[in-house]
Amino acid sequence: METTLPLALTTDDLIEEFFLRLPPEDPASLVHAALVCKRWRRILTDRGFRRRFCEHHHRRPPLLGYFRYGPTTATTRLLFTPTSSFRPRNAGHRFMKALDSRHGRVLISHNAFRQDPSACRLSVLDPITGHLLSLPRLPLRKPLPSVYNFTWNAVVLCASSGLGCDDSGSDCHCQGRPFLVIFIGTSKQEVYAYVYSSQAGAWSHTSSVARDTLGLLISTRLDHRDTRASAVARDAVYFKFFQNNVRILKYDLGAQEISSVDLPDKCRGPRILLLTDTEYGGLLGVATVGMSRIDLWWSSEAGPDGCFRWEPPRVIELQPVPHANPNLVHVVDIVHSLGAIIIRAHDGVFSLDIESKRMTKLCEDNCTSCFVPYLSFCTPALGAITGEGPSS
Amino acid sequence: MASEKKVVFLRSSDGEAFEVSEEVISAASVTIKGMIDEESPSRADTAATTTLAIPNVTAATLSRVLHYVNKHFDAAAVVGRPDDYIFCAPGDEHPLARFDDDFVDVDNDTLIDLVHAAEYLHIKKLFDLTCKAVADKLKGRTIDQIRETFGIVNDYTVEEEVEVYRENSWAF
Repeated sequence: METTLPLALTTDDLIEEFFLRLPPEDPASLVHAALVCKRWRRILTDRGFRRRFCEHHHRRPPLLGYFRYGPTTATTRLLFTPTSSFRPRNAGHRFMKALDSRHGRVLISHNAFRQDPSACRLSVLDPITGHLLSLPRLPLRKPLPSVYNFTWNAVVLCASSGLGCDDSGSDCHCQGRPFLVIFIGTSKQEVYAYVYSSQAGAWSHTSSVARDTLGLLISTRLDHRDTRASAVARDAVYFKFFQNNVRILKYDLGAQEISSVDLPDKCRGPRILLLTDTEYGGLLGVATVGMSRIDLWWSSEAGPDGCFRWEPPRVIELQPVPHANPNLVHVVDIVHSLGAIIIRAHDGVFSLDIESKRMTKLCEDNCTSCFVPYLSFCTPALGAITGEGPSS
Repeated sequence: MASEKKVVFLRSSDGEAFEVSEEVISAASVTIKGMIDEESPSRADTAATTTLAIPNVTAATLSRVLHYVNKHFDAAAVVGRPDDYIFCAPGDEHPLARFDDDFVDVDNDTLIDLVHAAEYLHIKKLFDLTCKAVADKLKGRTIDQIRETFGIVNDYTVEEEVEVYRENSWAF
């Protein structure tokens, strides 16, 4: 019979070294370890452990799964397709759609089918704790824009990200820390920004610019339905317009200003997606998605004139998906930090590894939209015994 | 050539002495490098070899540690013994990956002794390897199996256990 490991004589520090080497994409193994005995639970639920676990794994949070919006037998709701042993708490709300995810949080839009400004409600979900925070109604200025002119998009981010903060590259300290939601909307005449701060618990109107100033036609619409319609890069948030490959909108987090940025001259294609080179806000990238290829453009540092310089594009040839009608194959998302392209075909949704070209099936049904990848470190926060509620 | 090579002797807790190249062990172990550096002034003028006492490590463990150290930190030794390449396969990420896998494929007592030795001798690569091997024993096992493997007594009360299971039902 195998001998037992004499861990009783081992220090807490050494036991922590073992836990640090558990795979972050298998958070269930951390929970199992925490349930072995109270000593192990104490080590694993220590705040310092979470920080050291993130650092040990180079602050690159693993992909835990995808939030998507799809049909179930009864209704259409928020769904989670796991790619790890993680399962979210309090997900599965009806008529709610994931818009964006960053720093361990998911931004959710209610009333997924309704376009009118009065119905625009947002919530922020922490899938680890299950805490769902309904944001107050947007204090849109009267008269409300008409349904036809009201287009919008929004992102969630840690309040300390961007703005040159050292923590911007990490997800380590974000759980329970203040966050922001940046909302950009349009009316007939202008583009405006509202920022929700979790510290203030309220929206504030930070900026408004006339469409003319930005060179935007009345028909130019913000796009919150496509994936990767927004990106956080450096100290700004970028939003793409619907079927417009000429320019994108920039919201500067520091100066709280709205401006527009020209896309590369040759950046043409039926559809563009916005990316960052790290999931937590590095350089801005633009992908033009064609039927059989993706062109990836990366911005270098903006010059003194504030204009972006774009590197020559990197071309990724898309191999035909086996057994699929190429006309029905659709690139849903590109997760640059994972080197993966998410593709929808008639028989399911697949993840294509850019380097190895290996395809992995993520889910069976293809009637899904708004794939939002959820990347986070998930370490146990067992409130029941410690008497400390999970941070929210 | 070999005679020019400086060697040191390491004496295990149970009194056995092992010869190892000074250069190799200095590259591997921060602790032993520190000991050698402390000894240096007194040995500059003498030809006598140094013997260092390693009071926390037994002969059985020390011999394993030195096998690892010679493999990982002495490039010349690898070249000199081509048959060792049977440990490498073409698909291996690291040429010594196969060697490492076999190295930690040992019983639990031996493994935990190696962890303690790597920690005491401050051999980072070996510490990483052995801690990872212990972590691997945690994966894919039920909580009862983990308790059995690690010799741990469940000190949760039934009520506490039920509550914690309920809170973390997603993980089961």
